Amino acid sequence: MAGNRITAILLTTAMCASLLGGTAATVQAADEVHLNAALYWFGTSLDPHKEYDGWTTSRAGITETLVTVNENYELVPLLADSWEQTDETTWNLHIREGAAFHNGKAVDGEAVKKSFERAMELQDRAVTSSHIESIEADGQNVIFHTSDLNAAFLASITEPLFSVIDVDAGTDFESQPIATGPFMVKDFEVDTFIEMESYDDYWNGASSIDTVTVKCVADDNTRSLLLQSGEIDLGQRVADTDLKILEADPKYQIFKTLGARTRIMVFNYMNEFLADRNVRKAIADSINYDALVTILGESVGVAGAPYPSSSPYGYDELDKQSYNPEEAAALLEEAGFADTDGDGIVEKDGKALSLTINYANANYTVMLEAIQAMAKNTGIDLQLNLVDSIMEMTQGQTTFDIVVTNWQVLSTGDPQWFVDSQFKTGAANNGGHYSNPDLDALADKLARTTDVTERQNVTIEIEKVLLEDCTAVFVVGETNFVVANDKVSNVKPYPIDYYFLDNGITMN
Amino acid sequence: MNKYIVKKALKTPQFMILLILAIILILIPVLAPWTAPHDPLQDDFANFMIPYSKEYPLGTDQLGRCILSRLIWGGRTSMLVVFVVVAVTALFGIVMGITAGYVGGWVDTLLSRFTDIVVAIPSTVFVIALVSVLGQGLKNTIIAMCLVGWTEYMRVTRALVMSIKENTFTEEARLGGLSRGMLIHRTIVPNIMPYLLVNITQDIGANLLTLSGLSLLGLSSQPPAPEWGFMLSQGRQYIQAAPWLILYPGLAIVLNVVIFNLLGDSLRDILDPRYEKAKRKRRKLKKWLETE
Repeated sequence: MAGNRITAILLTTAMCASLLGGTAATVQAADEVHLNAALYWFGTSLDPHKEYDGWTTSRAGITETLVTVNENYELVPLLADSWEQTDETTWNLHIREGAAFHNGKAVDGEAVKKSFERAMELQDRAVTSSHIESIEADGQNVIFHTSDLNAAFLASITEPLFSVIDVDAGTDFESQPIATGPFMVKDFEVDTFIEMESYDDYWNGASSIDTVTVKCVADDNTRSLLLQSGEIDLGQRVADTDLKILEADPKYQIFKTLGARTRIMVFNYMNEFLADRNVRKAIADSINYDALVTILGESVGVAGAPYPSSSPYGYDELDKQSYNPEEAAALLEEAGFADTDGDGIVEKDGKALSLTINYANANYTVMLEAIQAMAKNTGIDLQLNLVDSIMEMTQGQTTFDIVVTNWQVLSTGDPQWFVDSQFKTGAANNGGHYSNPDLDALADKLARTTDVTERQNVTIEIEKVLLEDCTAVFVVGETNFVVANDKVSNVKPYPIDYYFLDNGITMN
Repeated sequence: MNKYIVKKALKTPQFMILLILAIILILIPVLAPWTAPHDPLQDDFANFMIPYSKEYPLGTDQLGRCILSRLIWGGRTSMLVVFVVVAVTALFGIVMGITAGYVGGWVDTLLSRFTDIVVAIPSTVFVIALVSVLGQGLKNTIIAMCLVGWTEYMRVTRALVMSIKENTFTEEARLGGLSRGMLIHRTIVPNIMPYLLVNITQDIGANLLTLSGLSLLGLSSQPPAPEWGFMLSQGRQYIQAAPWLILYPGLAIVLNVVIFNLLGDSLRDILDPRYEKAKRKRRKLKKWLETE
């Protein structure tokens, strides 16, 4: 017994000591303003010119591009404060005075040129999206020559891949990129955290937050649990069921906007059934879109058209995909399908209308199970197949019936990239082998049209073709939201989800 | 099974209660078309994620499907898989064990070393790897679990057969002119079965856990078919908003595992007098220590 008592005393002492130690640490941290934030994904490095790693540095507020897109999908100045298109293939951008890299070096035309050249050297995507052929530097000006008229040029260089970093800084960019954003990297561990401190000489006014820890938390539920436990102050989207709980509690704030990501169902035209428009349209008609939004909650909004309702691309005037089971049944009948064996699934020439949906995001299972049940009511059998990656399918390397995935349809605030990469004949992500000369002509026209209103009109024409052909089902649009506790203010939700932390966020 | 054992079993209330419970647990899913109140796949978008109602005693899931019905139909899947796996692994393992133990010599060495190789790889990891290679789905899960699960039966049977082989009654039967097949049938199998029955019963719980684990990882059952582990994995997303989505499938798994394990324990008490004797001895020793 005496032994037990001694152990108890020792344990209590140890606990007190650890408590005291904890308090001491908090006091030390109290005189600096610290923010804990969570992202749902990290790239494998912090080098913005590698893969999609720039999306992480952009979210963390480490790197910036020349031009950016605001919440209304308008192009607004960032590192470049003015620009003009001097001829069809030449763009002259002026870099703002006073912008400086994290090492104090001023940003000038030459630095921007080197950064762009590095991005183009490391990523093929840089050239295919922007069409840049050559770059000249002239003092604070940087002049881009494109290989042909690319009306979406400015939009294309808002992608974080074109983040400007000091190429000559001599640091290891994978862990220490020297860029221009409001936060500088102190420490980084892959898939774990980024420790950052405020950059005092930030051109647009330094952040009032001294230090930031950005954690990588992939699971939607875990992010809301961390917010509730106080481990993070600010986080990217949480599971929609948790959203309701957070909304009911005044301790938490939710900032929402309809995002630019649309979940789409891509059909393979090589499939004997799906080559028939009636079948594609019947599938689109059998989905109860409103019910999906009810089930999935506030994390999604109704889509039915390629571009979100918040964008200026004629959402209201389009004949959108909608729930119409009678039409679906009529279309199937017209296509020669009938349920002859009474199993609830329609057949044609003795073959049941059974298709497999491939998807790589396990979070979609609920949505797809609902779609599966809805399609079954119309007599269409959809099987679900969760795969590791759908990349090979969307790029046409392996065959499939249907793929469900999501696309940042206005990835750079501009509609062109989505059409060019997904629907043009032979496009890189056109794994479903869709081909329509009308659409190709319209896409080419869009690439040559610079006038903003005219671009919107052409885009609407493109949408009409896609909806008429029923090339894909635009299932739901994803809401972009940021959750925070009551210590954080001035959070801006961006429709494009590669923006997150900025210099405006404050802590009370 | 002799009269003595049956008598003893009937006199052990613990065993009888567990046996009845186990039978109920098997019967409910087997009679699913009658016991389940709803179609497990019928969604009801107007009533999704409700905790309790007269119509849905255990509430509904994220698509408005009746959780009770899904549990009952899910039990069908789980039980079917588990019983198939246990039957196949037990049969294969026991045949291997008898062969190795009875024939001995190089056959024994060969079979034993082969078993050692399979045992050397952690079984759960091995199953996950196999399913990943074979592809997801229940059929492949059954194949993978069968390929891995037989080793324990083989080892236990081999050891039992080797000890029984040395007994005088086996020797006498052989001298009496019994053929090898009859000898195994008459003297060996009856003597090893009680022990193996314990193993088999306890293996049901273990296999159920493995299957649920695989489904939780999304490797086994595919939507929309209900399955306990898969229901857990889907309900996990709603852990705060609708905790009953993971509570009930979790309870179903725990209940089944616990009951089949206890049943196995109880069966061992009945079948193995040595074990009971040892237990009594331990209890006596404990008492003695306490009084001293």
